[in-house]
Amino acid sequence: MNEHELGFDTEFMSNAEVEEMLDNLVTTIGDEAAADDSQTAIINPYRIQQVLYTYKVLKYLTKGTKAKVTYALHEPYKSMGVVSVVGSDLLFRNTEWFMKAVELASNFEVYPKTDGTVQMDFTFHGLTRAIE
Amino acid sequence: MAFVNCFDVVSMVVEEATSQFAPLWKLNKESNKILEQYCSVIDSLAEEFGGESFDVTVDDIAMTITIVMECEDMTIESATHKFYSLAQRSKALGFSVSEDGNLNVKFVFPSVWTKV
Repeated sequence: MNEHELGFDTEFMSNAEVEEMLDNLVTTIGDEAAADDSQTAIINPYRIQQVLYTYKVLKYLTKGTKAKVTYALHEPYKSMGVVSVVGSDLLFRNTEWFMKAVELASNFEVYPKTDGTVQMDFTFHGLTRAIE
Repeated sequence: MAFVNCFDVVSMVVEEATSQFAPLWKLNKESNKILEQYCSVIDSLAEEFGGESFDVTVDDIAMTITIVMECEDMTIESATHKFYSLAQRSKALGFSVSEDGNLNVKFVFPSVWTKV
């Protein structure tokens, strides 16, 4: 397939076209993830170990505080997992260990919640490997 | 955020603390230069994450410098993001909610003063 067939020589002509293509992209990503999910797969133990390290190190670093650390494996797809920390004032004095957890995650997100707490999500991809 | 520069705020606070700590302690220019580099990284983080303000304080006892950046939220997807190197150089890193309901990201940096 060449660049012409892919549509690189055309331009968006309206906001509606931009929105339509964005919607299609989101739908495609969801479809691909769902398709991956239906394949037979095996657990990737190394990746699970990384989720476990992140969960345990965050529990350790927040010990004695009111912060709540939770984890979820194989959600929303079986190849994904997340470790979350919720608290009102999160302070990490061992930045090396904390940043190692951030590095291991595929995605790190932190945001304020309306109840006055902060939530940190460490998202992991690759918890399973598809087999042919 | 373009009109507020992190190091401008830090400089004012550090200058005030330097006069307070004198004559026993003096500002280490080399350390202050490194702090300026940290501030330029914080400026770029503020630009990326919709930074709205900076708050800078100096701990009178530990002489550490705390910089709090208020922003909307923070998402990092690359292991080479500048946030990593900055956070690893800080003595502590914190997250909380600001009075306006935004995210406060707190960096605690080492002292920039040396004994005379």
